[in-house]
Amino acid sequence: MNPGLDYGASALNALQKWQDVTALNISSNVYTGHKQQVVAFEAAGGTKDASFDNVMQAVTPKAVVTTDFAPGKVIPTGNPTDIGITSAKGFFKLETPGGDVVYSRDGEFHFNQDYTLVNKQGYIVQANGGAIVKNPNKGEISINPDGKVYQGKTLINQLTLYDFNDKAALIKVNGGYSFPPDKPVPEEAVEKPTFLQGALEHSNSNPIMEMVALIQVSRAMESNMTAMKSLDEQMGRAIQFLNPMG
Amino acid sequence: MGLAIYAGGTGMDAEQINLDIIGNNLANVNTVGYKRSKAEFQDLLYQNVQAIGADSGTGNEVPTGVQVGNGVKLVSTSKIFTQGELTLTNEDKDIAIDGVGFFEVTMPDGTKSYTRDGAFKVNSNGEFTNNSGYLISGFQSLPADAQKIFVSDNGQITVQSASGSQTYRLPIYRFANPGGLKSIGGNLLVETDASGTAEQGNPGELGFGTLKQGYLEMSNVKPVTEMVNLIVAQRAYEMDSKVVQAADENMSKINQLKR
Repeated sequence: MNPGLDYGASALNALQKWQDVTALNISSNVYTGHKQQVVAFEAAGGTKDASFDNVMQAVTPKAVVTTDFAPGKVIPTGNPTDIGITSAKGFFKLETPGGDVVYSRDGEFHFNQDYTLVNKQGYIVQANGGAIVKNPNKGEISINPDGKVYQGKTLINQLTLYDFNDKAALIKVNGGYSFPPDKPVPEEAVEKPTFLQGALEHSNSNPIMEMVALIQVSRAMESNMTAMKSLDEQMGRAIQFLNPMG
Repeated sequence: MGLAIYAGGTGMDAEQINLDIIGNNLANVNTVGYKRSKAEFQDLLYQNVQAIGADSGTGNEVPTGVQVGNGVKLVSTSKIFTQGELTLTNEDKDIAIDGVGFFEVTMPDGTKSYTRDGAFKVNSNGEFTNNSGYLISGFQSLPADAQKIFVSDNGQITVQSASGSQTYRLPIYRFANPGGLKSIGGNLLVETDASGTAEQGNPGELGFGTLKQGYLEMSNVKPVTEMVNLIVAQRAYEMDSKVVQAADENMSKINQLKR
C-alpha cells in the first residue's frame, strides 16, 4: 500500500537496536575488559511493491552491530593479582572447568584454593607453560611488563596473549569470547605482549559518546515518527476525498 | 520491546551494590585489620538476536550471528588482602602480622575463625582473647604473677613472671585464596570451599609474615580512592537511570503513533 510507512517502521526498528546497544555500552562501562558494540546503518533491499518493481528499488535501513576490540584505558588498582593488558592486541586464554577455551581481556584474577591463577568465573589462566601455580612457601608473585612471571627471583612462567585474524567470528560467552565449536578459528600468539601488574583495562566505551547517541536515537525516532504520522494523515485525507459519502 | 530499559535497570542494580560496598569500606576506614572489598562485574549472557544464516525478512534486522547483551551483573565481591599500615600503640598485647597470615580464633561453639585484628586482651583466667572474648589459638595462659610479655618477629613468646619464665612459639595460619574467606562480622573470617583449608605455620618462615608487638594493622581502605570510586559509581548510576528514562520516553512516543 504505502511503502513509506514500512520504511519508517524499519528505521524505528533499526534505531531501537541502536538504543539497545547504547544502553548495553553504558551499563557495561563498569565491567573491566568490556568491549563496546558499535552500530552502523546500511541500506538493505526492503519491501518490494509490485507496482514499484520496475520504477524504484525499495530500500530500508538495516542496523549492523559489531564489537569494537580497540583497547581500553588501563587504570591502576594496586591489587597484585589484577593484570592489565597494555598491548593493543591479544586476549588472555582461559580454560573452563569443562575444558572449553575462553578468550578475554579482563585481567581481574585471583589465586584459587589450589594456588592457581584463575579469573572471577574460576576459569584457569593459560600461560605459555600452562597454568600459573604459586608455591605458598616462596612469597608473592610479580609480573614483568613483558609478561615474565616471577616468584621471588625464580622465573616460573610466561604470560601469553592470543589474537585472531577473524575477530568478527568471535561469539560472546560467559566470561569472555569463544568460537562456535563447528567453526574454530586458529589462534596466533601475539609477539611481545605487554602487561601492567596491579592495573585493569577498563571498558573501551566512551560515556560521553554514548549519552550523545541516546539523544541522537531519540531525535531520529521522533523525525521518523513525524514522517509516518504525516503519511498516515495524507492517507486519511485521500480516503475522505475519494469517498465523500463516508 | 527493546532490551535497553532492562540493560539500564541491570546497570542500576549493579551500581547500587557497588555503592553499598564502597559505603561499607568507608565506614570501616578505622577498623583494625579490616580488608577492603571490591565489586567485580561481568556482562550478562548474550541473546542470539538472529541465528546464523537466518533469513533477514524485511531487511531491517541485524546481520547473521549477531548477539546483543542483556546488561551487566555483579559476579562477586572479593576482599583485597594488601597490607594495612602498622600503627604503633606500645600496648604489649597488641600484635600485628606484617605479611601473610591470620590468627586463629575459637568461637563459643568450638568452630574456628580467623582474623588479622591483633588487639588482644587477657581474661580472668589469664587466657588471650580478642575484643569479643573469644580465645586465640596457640597462646598459653598467663601466670597470675606475669610481669612482662615479649613477642619476637618469628613468633617466639616469652613471659617473665616472679616465679620464672615460659617460652613458646605462636603459630599463624594462611589460606590459598584469602579472598574466598567468608566474613562473619566482628573482624572474623571463616574458611569456605573457595578459600581452601587453613595451613598452620610459624611466623617468618616459608612465606609467612612476621609478628610486630606493640603495633596494630590498620584498615587497608584508602579514603581518597574510595571517594573517587563513590563518585564514579554514582555517575554510572545516573547514566544508567538516563538510559531507562530515554527508553521509556521513546516507547511512549512510539505508542503515540497510533492516533
